Amino acid sequence: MPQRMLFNDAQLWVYREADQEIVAFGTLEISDLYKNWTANRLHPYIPLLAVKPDTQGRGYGRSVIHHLIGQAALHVMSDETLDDRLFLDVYASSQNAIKSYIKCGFENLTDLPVHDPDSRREYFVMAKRVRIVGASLFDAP
Amino acid sequence: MPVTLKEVHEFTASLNRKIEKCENGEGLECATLDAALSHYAGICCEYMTGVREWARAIFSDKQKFDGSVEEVWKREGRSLYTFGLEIAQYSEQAGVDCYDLPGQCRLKAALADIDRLLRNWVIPAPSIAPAARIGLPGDVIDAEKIGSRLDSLPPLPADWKPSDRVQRLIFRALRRGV
Repeated sequence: MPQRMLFNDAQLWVYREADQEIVAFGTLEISDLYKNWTANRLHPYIPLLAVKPDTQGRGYGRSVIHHLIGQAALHVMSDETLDDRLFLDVYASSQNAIKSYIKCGFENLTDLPVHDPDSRREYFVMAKRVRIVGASLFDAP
Repeated sequence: MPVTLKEVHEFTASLNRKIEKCENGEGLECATLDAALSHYAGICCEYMTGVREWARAIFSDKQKFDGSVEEVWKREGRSLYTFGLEIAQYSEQAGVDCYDLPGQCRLKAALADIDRLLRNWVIPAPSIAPAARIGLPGDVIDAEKIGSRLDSLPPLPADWKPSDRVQRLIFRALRRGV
């Protein structure tokens, strides 16, 4: 993550409960990772998102996802050169995370996961459109 | 994209030539103090773009890390920062407000970026997570199906609003065109 923040301008949010206990963190960057699928346009991308293990199952993950969707939507509203699809990748073994993303409107782009021969891990790539229907910066309020 | 030692040497040499050209008063780029400040700010931004492209090439495993290349980047960054700071201080001593000298604001912002980069320097390394290295390879998946899925993703509903209070404020301002 330090590399992403220093060289990619990734944004990081730390989420706390009312008692200040840290329960999750989320990140967002404007990326070219999936530019082959966005006609070479930059797009919002969630590199990392994590919920503290002993607080899982309380809805924090979905709150974080909604916050990152909101942030990505603001980026897309304020910069018309950006592609309006928000991308993320998730390990195929993280079934609870995949369910949360689907509940928040993300869709799987492949039926089968992508295989990484180096780490021997598999992951899915998911995406969600974050532009409001018919909306642009110059819409009437 | 400057990533090899030779390319990075050439890139930093071209930045230094631009500085010398300005110092010698060649051309119209540095005809006024403000133009000179903007010119140096532009050189700093070019540096930042170059160093980021190099680091991203390593992160995505398109380029192997080379400590001698890293040293060139860091040395050039320190040199640009020191020199840029002198120019910024000179313009401040001239007694002109930043507001009246936009180049001064641009240079200060560019120097702050270089300072942040050098003080928080992280040695670039390939990403542990595979997606940054592999992405969504078109040769092993059904490209047509992915394209069609991406095209058919529904937009956010017309009455959508961010759940976060600060985001809602920005959202309303953007919709008003502010």
